Amino acid sequence: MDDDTNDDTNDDTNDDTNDDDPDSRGQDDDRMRLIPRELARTRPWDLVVRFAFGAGVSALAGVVSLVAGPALGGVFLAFPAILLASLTLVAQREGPRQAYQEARGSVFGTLGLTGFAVVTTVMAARWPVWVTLVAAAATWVVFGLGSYLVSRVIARRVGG
Amino acid sequence: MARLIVEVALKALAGGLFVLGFAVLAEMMTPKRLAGVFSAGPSVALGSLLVTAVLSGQADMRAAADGMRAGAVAFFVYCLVAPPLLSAWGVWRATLAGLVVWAVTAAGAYLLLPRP
Repeated sequence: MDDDTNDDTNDDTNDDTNDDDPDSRGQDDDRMRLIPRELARTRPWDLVVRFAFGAGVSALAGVVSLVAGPALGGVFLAFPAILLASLTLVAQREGPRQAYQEARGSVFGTLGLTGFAVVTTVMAARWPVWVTLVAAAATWVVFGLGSYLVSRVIARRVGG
Repeated sequence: MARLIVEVALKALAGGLFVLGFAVLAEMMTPKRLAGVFSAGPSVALGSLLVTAVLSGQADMRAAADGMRAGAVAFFVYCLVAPPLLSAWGVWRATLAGLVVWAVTAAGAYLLLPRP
């Protein structure tokens, strides 16, 4: 954890060059943590890029829905542009190894995303919108984060 | 026409804000594999489906979610091929090649998945 703070002072200047940094960010420290001060390391531009990717994909899905119908537009609701933006930014800032780890973790999120779509399809005709979306979001949490946690347990048991 | 433009703009705004929210969560998460889970969160879907339900009704929302199943299956395949491609080709070529994989898989899944 202490390692996380060491490069706070030079994050803007060395981000593109210090491929050693990922190793200093915890040597694959596997503890699950929410560290609000990590947000201070994030460049505002990175957040702008993510917002732009999200808005762009949503607009694309909206235009396809208008032109070809909501079902075809819906395909783009699971377009991997956000991950693409995240991977390129992480690779640039923290090195390819961290991007690789993030890509591996995203597999679990897509399991939740599939559950989200199925639950929404099944519930949308019968339940109010808010109930449907809350249930779908809960499904994402259970499947996405749940499968991630199960994978950690399995990895630890296999690793001894 | 103006209504359609407003609808697309609202979807873009809502999708962008949800993506930002998930991105902020991912930035604060460690290890990176856990952050990756949030990179595949339903951020665009939540924003877009919400606006669709309000402006176009629940039938369109259901149809969009139906199509989203195909995209989600393709996203899963994308995430399976992305890590080895990253190791072999680097981030730009790997992510772009992954997009081709996503598009092909999504098209196939869209045609093959049974409609509820």
